[in-house]
Amino acid sequence: MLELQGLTKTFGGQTAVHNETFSVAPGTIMGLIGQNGAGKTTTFRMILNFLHPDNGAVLWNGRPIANQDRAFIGYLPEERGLYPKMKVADQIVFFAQLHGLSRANALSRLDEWMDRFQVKGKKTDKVKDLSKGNQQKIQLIATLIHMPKLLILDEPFSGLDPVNAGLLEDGIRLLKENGSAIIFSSHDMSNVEEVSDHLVMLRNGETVLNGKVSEIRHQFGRTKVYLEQPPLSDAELEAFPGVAKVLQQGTRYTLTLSDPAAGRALFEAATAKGYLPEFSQQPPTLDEIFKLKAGASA
Amino acid sequence: MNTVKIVFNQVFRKNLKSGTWWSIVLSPLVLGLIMFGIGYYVSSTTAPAEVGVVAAQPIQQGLSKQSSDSVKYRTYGSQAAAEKALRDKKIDGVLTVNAQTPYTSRYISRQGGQDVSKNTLTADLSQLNTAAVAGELHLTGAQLTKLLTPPTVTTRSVTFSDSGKMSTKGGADEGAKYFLAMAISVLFYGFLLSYGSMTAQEIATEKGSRIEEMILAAISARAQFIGKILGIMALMVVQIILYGIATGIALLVGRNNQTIRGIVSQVDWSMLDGSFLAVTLGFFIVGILSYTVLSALLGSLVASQEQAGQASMPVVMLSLIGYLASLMSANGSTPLMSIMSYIPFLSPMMMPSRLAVGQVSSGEAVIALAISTAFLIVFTWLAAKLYETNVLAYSDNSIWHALRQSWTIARSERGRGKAVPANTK
Repeated sequence: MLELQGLTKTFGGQTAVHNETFSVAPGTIMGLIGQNGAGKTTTFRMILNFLHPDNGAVLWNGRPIANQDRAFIGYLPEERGLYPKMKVADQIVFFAQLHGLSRANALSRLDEWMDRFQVKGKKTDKVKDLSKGNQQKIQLIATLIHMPKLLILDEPFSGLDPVNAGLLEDGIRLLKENGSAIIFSSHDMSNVEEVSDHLVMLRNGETVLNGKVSEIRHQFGRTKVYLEQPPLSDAELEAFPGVAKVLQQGTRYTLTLSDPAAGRALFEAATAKGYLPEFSQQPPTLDEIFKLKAGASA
Repeated sequence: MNTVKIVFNQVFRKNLKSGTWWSIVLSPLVLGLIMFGIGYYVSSTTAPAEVGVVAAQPIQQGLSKQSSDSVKYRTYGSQAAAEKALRDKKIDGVLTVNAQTPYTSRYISRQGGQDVSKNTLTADLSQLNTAAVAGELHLTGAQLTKLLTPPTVTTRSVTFSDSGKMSTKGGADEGAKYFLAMAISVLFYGFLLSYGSMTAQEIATEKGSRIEEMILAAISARAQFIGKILGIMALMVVQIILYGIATGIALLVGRNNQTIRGIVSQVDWSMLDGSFLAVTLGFFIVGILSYTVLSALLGSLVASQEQAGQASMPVVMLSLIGYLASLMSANGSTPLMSIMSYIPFLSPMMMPSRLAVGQVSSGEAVIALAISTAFLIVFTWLAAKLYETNVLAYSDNSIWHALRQSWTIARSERGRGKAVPANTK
């Protein structure tokens, strides 16, 4: 169990993170979101013991993480790199050994991971001779091969194509099933929504959201209605009581409600003439919540 | 496995497999082999210059006996015959000697032929001239020997200790020592430049590509720093061993070769005393380590691999000062030189040279070595501490900006367990 208890960190009078508190249980995934400069990387660096908080503590299984052997951690930095001239196997063995694996064990696990991630290339290839996508896979393997108990991924999806992003999601889920506590940051809310159990949003170092993904969305109420081919005209929709905004894309409409209760009357009016291909009343998406919350700081 | 050992193994093996390291090792050997080959080729294809002698028979015989590897004298009965041979390019010059003492002579050389220096001809003739004059004066062999024996001058170089006690410096061994000190200076300079830039490059690559952060997530910066320095030291030891083996093979193969025997016999190896060798070796090890640590420290300040050159610049400048000063030490001692030779980074290059030419005593060299060693210990400790913050501080401006950032925040963070990087995003 990873626990952050009231972390505060300042740099030269500027607060990077203020009173940050959350926990990540084994077998769960935490998404850390926020704009650039919100304090995500500082949070990771405090967890990794690169930085020490001014106040508060980072605990792993109830003990300060600073006092522990950190071989159980897996970390993928935001900007990526490997030793270009080293062979794939040599790099992976090096990182695995740093995390306490033997050479033989690392090499046998490497075969499994290369299969799992469908790496096109041999263990004896130099990293620079692999394609960018395959290099990304090798870096992920370097982070995951020792099956870390605590996995920290800084913007893991950035720069990945959809296929590699899918493989990464599979890898993250594998570690989750294995009981790892996982924390990752992302700009892409669809990844966060698909993968995370919990979510923390930072804004200028302050925690503005903290909870389960579905709970957070429902906090904002079902203020979005998606309609397809409604029997109402644009003018009728715009004039409908409780409708704040209408957005049309082809035959599809996205309505923003000022009051979620207006949805019932809208449904009745939309279905008054019978069949309707789509009527869906939902809370705002994470993306919308993100923009809403991030915008509030501006 | 111990984390220092893992890093050590990685640095050692990675470089042992790299072309860069092998080029550092092999290029001086290849260069040496080429130079030796050229020298050998030139000396083996150069035939002695042929000089035709037109003179009285005793002079012709005398000169013929003095033929050497560089000049061969041939005798001709007449000036015309000699000049014909010259025209036919059979000889390189014609020497006509008048038998009247003191001898006068004339030398005609053919353009394009091999040169014979005037000094060589004068020296060869003067022996005959002396013998002829001695004959005319009816001197005995003993008288002639006495006449020809030059006066002797024996030299003794002394130093004075602080208490005014005079001690004799060996004169004969200084050549050998100076030769060795110069050779070590060149070797030292070459090593520190190669390994300095290798170290800076190594760390700059890791930092620039953020591999550093993956490594430091698992192990401490200090363990990584020490493992890296030790790994690079081990590579250097391997290189020195390889050079030792190469020298051994060269001596073994070439033990019957004139050129190599000439070089070896010129140096009086027995004169190199143990204390000189020990101090020089000590300076070599401490010096290279100091520069390697400095390079590592500077390498850890770069934000990208492109800045690696910027990082190795101070190393180049500092070592150049020491190197040039060590070369100048032969020209005499100045107060500035005396001060400089106690300064860490400079003393490892200057002291062995000054010790070799007898400007300083072994005691003074040991004091300088002790200063350098003490400095190295403190410097390494400090560098490892700064390294922890440097590797996480990125500045696109310059490495000096990064150093200031790193230092300021490291100080403001004192007391929180460890120093903290600037600019953490």
